[in-house]
Amino acid sequence: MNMITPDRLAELTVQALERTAFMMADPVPVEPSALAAAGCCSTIRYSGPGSGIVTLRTTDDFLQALVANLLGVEAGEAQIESYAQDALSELTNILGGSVISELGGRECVYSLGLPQPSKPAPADASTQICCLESEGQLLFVAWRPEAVSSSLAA
Amino acid sequence: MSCNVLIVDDSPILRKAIKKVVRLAGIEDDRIHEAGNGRDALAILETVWIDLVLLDLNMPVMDGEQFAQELRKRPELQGVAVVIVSTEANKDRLQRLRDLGIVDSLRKPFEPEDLCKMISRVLRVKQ
Repeated sequence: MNMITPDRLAELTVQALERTAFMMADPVPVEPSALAAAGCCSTIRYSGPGSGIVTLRTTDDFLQALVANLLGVEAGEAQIESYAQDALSELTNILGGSVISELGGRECVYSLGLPQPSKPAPADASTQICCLESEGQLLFVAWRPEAVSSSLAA
Repeated sequence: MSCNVLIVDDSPILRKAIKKVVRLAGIEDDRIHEAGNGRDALAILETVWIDLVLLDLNMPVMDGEQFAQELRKRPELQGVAVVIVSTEANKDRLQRLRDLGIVDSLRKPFEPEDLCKMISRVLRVKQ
């Protein structure tokens, strides 16, 4: 199975933010306390030769900036709050697509589910996490490949 | 440009973002239509002539592939050009869509300039 390192995950996230929302972001170390404070969460599952989950976690302030950039309005405008979850879901969808494309390449046979709002899930040893900072706000992206079942692995 | 464009995506905020790019391609506001899934898109196509559909694939209610299948069953809608704008990377699914007559595809995250150029190219060919 192809692996995606935290550095590559960060590159894919930077590309998604730049292209979709014209947001500049830089990778920063993952601080557990900051991760715990990021209460807005969305996940997307994929399946195919392997399966897994991509999870995004961030803060209300990051989402405000994301929505403002997507809509081309000033942060703090009234309409922003109503689009926050939608913006997070769409970014999750885009990163899910980037992950399966990275895993499958030109011969990709992975399928992507729909993004879902979720509660933060505990990471395990296989989880790859990166953190991006944009204008002082943090976005965490985690990729967790799921174990191949014993019947398939045999 | 006197063409009608339909944006089909379940994300309202992404529809707004795509709409900005469609405007940049020279399409007037009142010629840009939106739908949140394939079923709603078909309802619009029954009432408004659409030249180009920008189609997401992974949507609830009726997804983009089901929409494309329905579209091809309707002889009166054979002239509608469909471009996929989606995260889709599955080669088998993309081939099935090409077999259904999809004109082109653009994978998210896309450069706005690339979408703008694609819209202009497809509509120029149609005219």
